[in-house]
Amino acid sequence: MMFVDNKQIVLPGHLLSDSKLKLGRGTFREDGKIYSNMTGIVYIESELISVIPFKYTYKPRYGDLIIGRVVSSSYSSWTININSTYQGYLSTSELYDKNEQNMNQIINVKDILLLRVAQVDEINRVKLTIRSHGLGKFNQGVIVRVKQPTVHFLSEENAFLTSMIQEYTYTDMIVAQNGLIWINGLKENVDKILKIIDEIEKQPFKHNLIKIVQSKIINL
Amino acid sequence: MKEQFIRKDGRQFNSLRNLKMEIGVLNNADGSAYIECGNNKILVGVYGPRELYSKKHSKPDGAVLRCKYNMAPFSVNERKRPGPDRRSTEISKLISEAITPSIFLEKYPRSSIDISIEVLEAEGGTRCLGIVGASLALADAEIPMRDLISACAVGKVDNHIVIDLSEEEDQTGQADMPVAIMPRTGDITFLQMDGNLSVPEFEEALQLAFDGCYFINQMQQETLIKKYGGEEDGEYYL
Amino acid sequence: MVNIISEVSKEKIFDLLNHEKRIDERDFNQYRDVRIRTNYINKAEGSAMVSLGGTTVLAGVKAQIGTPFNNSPNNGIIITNTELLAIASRNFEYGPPNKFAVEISRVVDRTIREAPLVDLEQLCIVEGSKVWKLHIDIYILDFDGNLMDAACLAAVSALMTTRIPSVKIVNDELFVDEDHLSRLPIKNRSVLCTVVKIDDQLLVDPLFVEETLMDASLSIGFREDGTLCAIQKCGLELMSVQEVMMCMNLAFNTSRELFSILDTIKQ
Repeated sequence: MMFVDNKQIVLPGHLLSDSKLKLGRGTFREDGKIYSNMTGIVYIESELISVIPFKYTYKPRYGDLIIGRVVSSSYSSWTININSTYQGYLSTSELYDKNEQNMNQIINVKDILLLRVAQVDEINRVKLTIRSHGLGKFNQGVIVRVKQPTVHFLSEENAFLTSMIQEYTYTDMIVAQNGLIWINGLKENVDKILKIIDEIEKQPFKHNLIKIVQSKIINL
Repeated sequence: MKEQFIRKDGRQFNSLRNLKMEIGVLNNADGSAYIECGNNKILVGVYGPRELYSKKHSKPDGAVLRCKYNMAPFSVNERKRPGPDRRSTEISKLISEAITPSIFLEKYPRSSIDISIEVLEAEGGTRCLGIVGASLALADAEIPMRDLISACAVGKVDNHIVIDLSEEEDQTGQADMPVAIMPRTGDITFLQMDGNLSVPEFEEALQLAFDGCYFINQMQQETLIKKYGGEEDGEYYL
Repeated sequence: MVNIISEVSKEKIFDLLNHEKRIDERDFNQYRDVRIRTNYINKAEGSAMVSLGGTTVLAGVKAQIGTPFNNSPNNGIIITNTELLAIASRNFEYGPPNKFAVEISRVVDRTIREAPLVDLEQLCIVEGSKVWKLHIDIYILDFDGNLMDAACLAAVSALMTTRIPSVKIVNDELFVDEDHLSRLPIKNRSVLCTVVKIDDQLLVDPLFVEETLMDASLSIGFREDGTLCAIQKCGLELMSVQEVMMCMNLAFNTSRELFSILDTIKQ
């Protein structure tokens, strides 16, 4: 049985359900019942129940697309700040068998990279990978920091909005799971997108937000 | 008979002082809370979880909770020397133990969570308000928790069991007993007593403390809901 | 959780400065909104909470009767102490005051002492043995740059609203009358104004990000009549005489604004 509705605000310790659902983030099970472990909004998707926090809290999970900045390098790996509690590690072996054209992308400290989480071990060491299609170094563009509900809105709930924004404003945009969004394009177009993101940031759970955003994009 | 007992400041045996809670008051902290109760003013800030680099201080199986209770020099009648003393060291330890059961420390190995409790003005009952504030600030910092911890003090004044002792009652009263509980399960996480109580009186006092804690828990929840604009559009609710 | 975009914003600040703009859209000589709340702490003889944009400072004055220093037997004592609380910033740590806290205490102390804000001779009760001792404790609650100005403003506002009990001496015995409170003998108000130099540009009231990028800063204390009472230069880079004079000019104009804000405090 469910004790909450989709998109309801819950607090730590709030009873969510006693059914056999899969636990998403922000939830825990005690005595067969599922409770929330933080303040946030309930999000139910078929068999998965999770609580989306209101702020920036990001915990790396396998497969997440993230943006990070190189903070230091050693012989075997680069240390990457990924806007989370823990820093990520990118092994130097990642670069060896990349294509010739990418070899000039030698990574330096302060570079900003698009990466994927390859592994998170039991003591939360975050291993990253750059060996996949589309991953690599950013050479231009702006990066904005957004809260988790905005990421959720733009990437999980309504992923088509990102491509819609790109189409209507002739820009490139990548929404990373760790709360950073990269935008590249003409300055006036970027400013327009920033306004839309601001709008979403203010009330990410507003009723009909998707329609409002859609009409904004079309009327740009 | 109990209902007729009016305390020196005009309160009933079971009424709290004016209580005000606010969260998200600091710009830099990951979570923060401000609590006013009578003339008590308490500011709590939470930083973390942040990765600890020293192997000596970090634990591989969970976060380290570091809690500091600190009183401002101007918070009491006689100026207090800045810096830690025996009292604040003890209270720091107790507060940290009171809130530890509620936090999923194991989710953040090799990291630390730092809680600073700053008493700007003290008028009795600061350790309980410190616990209430710390719990709110942790929730504001979105640290995974099992429940919000609530706390309140009860005591014996003029042979009556009363709640939320003021400074004067604290000094002249016969007993003082701060209690912190985890409201969802009703377990006690913090219990202290000094003074003189019989066992039936203790049971009565504990019952009163629980009532107070549930009331304070209600306020904590309302504070959190209000902060995140829950009532807007009437769309989400508790 | 270090802010990943700090490096990005650094370039942005330099870029904006070249276009005569600041990151929070202020003018170079524009101060942030100042809010002062006096008599915040009831247990203190005087107190003030000052917020300067994102910086919040609480100053409390405690008055005690103590013995004067040997070299000034008929003067009261003012002691300033600053605590950078761990709640204010992730870079502040719990413990005894570090060099930054001590510097703030000493600069604020000089600004107050040299003005002089309080007529110390009137704080003497019995020459050589009993004087008022005022402890000013400055608590930094929230940090977004320009602590020096905020701390000084808080200390001055707290002293302006401080009320001490009246004292009578009957037959060599001291009677403290807690019911009759009197104001401190305020002589000359003073304020501090900080100007920072970034990339050859001069800005008043720096934000934290601007302070991290600054070459040098100059904090100048002014009396009400426009004369100087304290100067402190911080930072690792050089400043030319011309730049110092320009700073002086900027700071003087700002000090006028600050005095008009102090005028609004009810004593």
